[in-house]
This record gives sequence, structure tokens and C-alpha cells, in this order.
Amino acid sequence: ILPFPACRFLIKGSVAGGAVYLVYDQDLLGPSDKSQAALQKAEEVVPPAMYQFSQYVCEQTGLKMPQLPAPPKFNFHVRDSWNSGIIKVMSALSAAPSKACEYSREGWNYLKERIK
Amino acid sequence: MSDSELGRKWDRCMADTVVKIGTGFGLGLVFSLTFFKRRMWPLAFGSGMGLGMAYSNCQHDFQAPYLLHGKYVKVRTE
Repeated sequence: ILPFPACRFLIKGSVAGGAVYLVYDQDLLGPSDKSQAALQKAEEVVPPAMYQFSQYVCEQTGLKMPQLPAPPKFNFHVRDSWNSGIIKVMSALSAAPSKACEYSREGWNYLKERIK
Repeated sequence: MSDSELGRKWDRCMADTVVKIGTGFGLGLVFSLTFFKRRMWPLAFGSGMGLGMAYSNCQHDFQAPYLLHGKYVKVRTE
């Protein structure tokens, strides 16, 4: 029978070793295409697993959990988001002077009507 | 490098950064809880390592088309 500190060390070592092996096996710290594939695999696997876990918890405890909204998509395209963001910012900047004139005119008309 | 290929490289770079920082943070968390008495430095160390590895991968990915690979050829002079 092992003493308690040795047991604790073995448990901690096995947890840490298992984490390191999982990282090595899934190639998470390797080339970028492997990391991207791992992220896509996680995106496919995690939401159904969470849904099944919530269903299991509902069955075991008898609670009725509300329908959770769909999880957000991780795999968005940075280039498309960046380009659309730049276009929106530039169009807002180009329309800003005319909008400012229009709003100030409307505000001035409102004040004149209130003063009358 | 075409625009679509550049966009794909940026997407890959962002995904790689997220995965590596998360992995480094996770490993740092595990080691902090198991061996280092819940200190903060393993998390910072792991996250920093992940960020550095992702930056190195991205740099290599973007520079790869422009790198020249050569080899030494011995010339026999008689």
C-alpha cells in the first residue's frame, strides 16, 4: 500500500501527463493547419456533446431546462469581417458631415417650434 | 500571393493563435493546480508560449513564398 503523499503525487502526475499527452496526440502545438483542423473538429463535436449532456441531466434530475440558443460559429472568416468593417466605417465617415448637417437642422427646427 | 490565398493565411493564423493560446493556458492551468500550488505564473508562461509559437508559425507562413532555398554545390577545380 502506497503512502498518501505518494498516491497524491501519482494522481497529480497522471493528470498532468494525460493533459500533455492529449496535447501531443491532437497536435495542438504543431503546424497551423493541424490547429485549424482541431478547432473545426471541436466546433463540430462540442455543441452536440453539450446538448446530450444537458438532456442527460434533465432526465436524471427531472428538471426542464429551456431550449438554449444555437452556439456561435467559431469559424468566421477574418478577411470578410475585416473588409466589411472597413467598408462600414468608411461609408459612415463619408456620410457623417451630411448627417450632422441634417440632424442639426432638425434640432434647430425643433427648438424653434418649441420656443414659439 | 493572391488576395484569396492571403485571406486563407490570415484565417489560418487567427485559428492557430486561438488554439495555441488556449492550449498553453490550459496546460498552465493544469500544472498550476497540480504542482505549483495555484500560482499565476504557469498560466502566464503557458499563454505566452502559445502566443509566441502562433506568432512564429504565422511569420513562417507569410514569409514562405518569398524565402529562397539553396544548397552548396562543391565544384572540383583541377
